[in-house]
Amino acid sequence: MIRSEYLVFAILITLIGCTSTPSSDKLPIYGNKIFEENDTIYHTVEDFKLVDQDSSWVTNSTFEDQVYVSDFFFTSCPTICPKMKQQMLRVYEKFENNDQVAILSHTIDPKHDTVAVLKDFANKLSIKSNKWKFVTGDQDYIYDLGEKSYMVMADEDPNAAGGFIHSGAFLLVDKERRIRGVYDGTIDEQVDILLNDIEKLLREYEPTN
Amino acid sequence: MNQLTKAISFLLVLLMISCGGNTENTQEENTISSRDEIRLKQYMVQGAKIYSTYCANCHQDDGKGLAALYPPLAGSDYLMEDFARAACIIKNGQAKEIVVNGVAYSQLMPGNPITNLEVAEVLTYVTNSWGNEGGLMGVKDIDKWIDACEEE
Repeated sequence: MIRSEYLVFAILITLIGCTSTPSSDKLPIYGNKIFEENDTIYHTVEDFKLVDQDSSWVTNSTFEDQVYVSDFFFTSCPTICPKMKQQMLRVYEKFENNDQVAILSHTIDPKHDTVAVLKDFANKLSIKSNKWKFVTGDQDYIYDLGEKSYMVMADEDPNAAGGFIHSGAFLLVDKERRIRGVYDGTIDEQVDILLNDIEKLLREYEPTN
Repeated sequence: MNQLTKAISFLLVLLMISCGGNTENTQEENTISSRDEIRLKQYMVQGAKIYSTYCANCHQDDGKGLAALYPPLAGSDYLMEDFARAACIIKNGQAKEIVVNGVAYSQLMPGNPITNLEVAEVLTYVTNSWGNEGGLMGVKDIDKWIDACEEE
């Protein structure tokens, strides 16, 4: 009898464990939810205005009708950023010809990473600026955006290699500016999941028959 | 008389060098080469660990670098033409622009907080991986090279 109880318990645990990978085709929606009358208001990326490698303004409307992958880095970063850029190149290459997907990389070191530095960096990665935007702006503004909108941490820290401490997260943002996935941008397998999730997310926007 | 001795020893040396490829090595030479072989293997194992900690982020696991940002080590003319220079760069970093296999790279490379022995191990690893064949980088050579590094 006791054994069968254990079995039920084990099955339950397995089921609970499986809920993190739901069988439905929909990705989770991250962040705080506010329930208002019959409506649920989800966390969204706030309005922002930054400058890209071509000196063009980048705002939310830049990514209208697009899903995008966002991250935070700096060009002189000696630690995790090169790995992140290598992994982000995989996203770039896979969706290079898909207009519905874009990439937004924020520098957390605007003092060094000027538009010219970002342009040079983008050129060396051989990427097109309409697909992958490297943006700069006021430092506090970018940190604030990272923390409040994308829920990632970035901060100046003279003790960290390169002088900054930051997360290596990639964030998947949907067309309604909601965060739909968080991935470790330094790990191959995590980015495999991201590539898959982008396709899954795009399917949500396909007209249903 | 002195010149004759010199000439003879020169010939002897020549003879020894030309016989180097011969299997009839002396007992002593065999011991040295097998000792070096074992050390090479040890350095490769240790070097691989150091590489993945300090180098692979930029130069990548396969040593191919990343686009025009970080230069390749695999098949790199810049690496293989001057091991002493490479040891100094591993230890102290590199700030100036360099040309590797015809491509200019200007991304700053930070120095690494590692011992001369670790420099020897990781330099042995990168100069003997991915098709590179630089042989063993002994720690005595590294000591000499690091001492002679140019100031940044």
